[in-house]
Amino acid sequence: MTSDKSDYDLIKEFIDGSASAFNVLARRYQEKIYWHARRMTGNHLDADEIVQHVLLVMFNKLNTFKFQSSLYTWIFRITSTRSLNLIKKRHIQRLISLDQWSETGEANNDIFTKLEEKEKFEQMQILLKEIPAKQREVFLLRNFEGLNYEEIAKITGRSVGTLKANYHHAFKKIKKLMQHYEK
Amino acid sequence: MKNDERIIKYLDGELEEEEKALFEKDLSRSETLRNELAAYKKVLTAFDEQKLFETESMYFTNLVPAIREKLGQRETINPFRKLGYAAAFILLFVAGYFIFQSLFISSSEQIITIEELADNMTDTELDEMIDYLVEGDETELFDEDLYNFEEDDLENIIYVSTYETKLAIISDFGINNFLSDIPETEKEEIYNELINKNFSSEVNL
Repeated sequence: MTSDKSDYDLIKEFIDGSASAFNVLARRYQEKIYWHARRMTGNHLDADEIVQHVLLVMFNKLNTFKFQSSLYTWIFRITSTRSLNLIKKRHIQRLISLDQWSETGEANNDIFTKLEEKEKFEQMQILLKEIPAKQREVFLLRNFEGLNYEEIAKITGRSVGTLKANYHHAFKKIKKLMQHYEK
Repeated sequence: MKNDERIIKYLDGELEEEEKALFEKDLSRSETLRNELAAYKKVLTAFDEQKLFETESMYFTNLVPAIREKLGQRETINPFRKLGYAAAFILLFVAGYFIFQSLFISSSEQIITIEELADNMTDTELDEMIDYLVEGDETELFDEDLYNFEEDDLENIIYVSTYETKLAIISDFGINNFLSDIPETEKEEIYNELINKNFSSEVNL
């Protein structure tokens, strides 16, 4: 289901009780949410959890949306926070040996249709996982979402200067790691 | 400006016109610089390639119906959820108490590790506690300070709590009272010991 209606119009319709308006908004953003979460967390199960959570938050909180930022920024702020939270949660679970969650079943539960592409994706995830989550986030928002620093600042709440430093460190380290793995 | 910085800024479109002209001039004269630029471009190309990967469309087709189903389930409100949070909050106090004891009371006493603490809780209790510690209202702007914790294990436990939770811990365990009850010299000794101590190795996380 696609629609030419603006986010603004769809939000208004949703607040007025249109269930289909929410469906259109969810479908408009779900892939972006999923892929950002996927690249942040590195696995399908966590990305799935995040995208479902973000869509649920959208449904429950969209009536409080004040139109002070774009819907895209609002959604990415939620996605970003949720992704960082889940990364922390997994870290704590590993820390206290509550590692019931694992990546088993991941192979049977993925959305890649070509094995070769999945392998390439995972190779890059190995590099991404080597850099701190906040740096990774800036790198992804710059290169996959094509956002400028001002837009990323609205999402992350960090200053443009900090974001530029984050991006610089991330890019430099990924380049170094890529060279290292190629040797 | 170092080469790495110049290259990243060049690719990022962040160089001033003058800097860009100078960079391109240097590029034509230096093979090393050209190789470095190529290495950075290779990273971007590898990530760009991923944008074209094919994925299972059914997953995305089924997402909204799955959300709708969850929303239907949520209409049945679980009255024990809030109680669960309260229980988790109490567990957090217990965890905070042990951490507080191991850090502040006596270095000669046996230190209780997070693993030992975890052993005394059920998996569900631990999971609930972690959820409680980690989750906040994601629609609010978040506090930058809460995310500066990635490297240190012990700090993870402390920093993941919300600001309010941290205040509650301080208040409930009377750390301020404890500090006000001891002499200045002892306070200074503790302070010096703390700033020179590697907590993560001390508690054997």
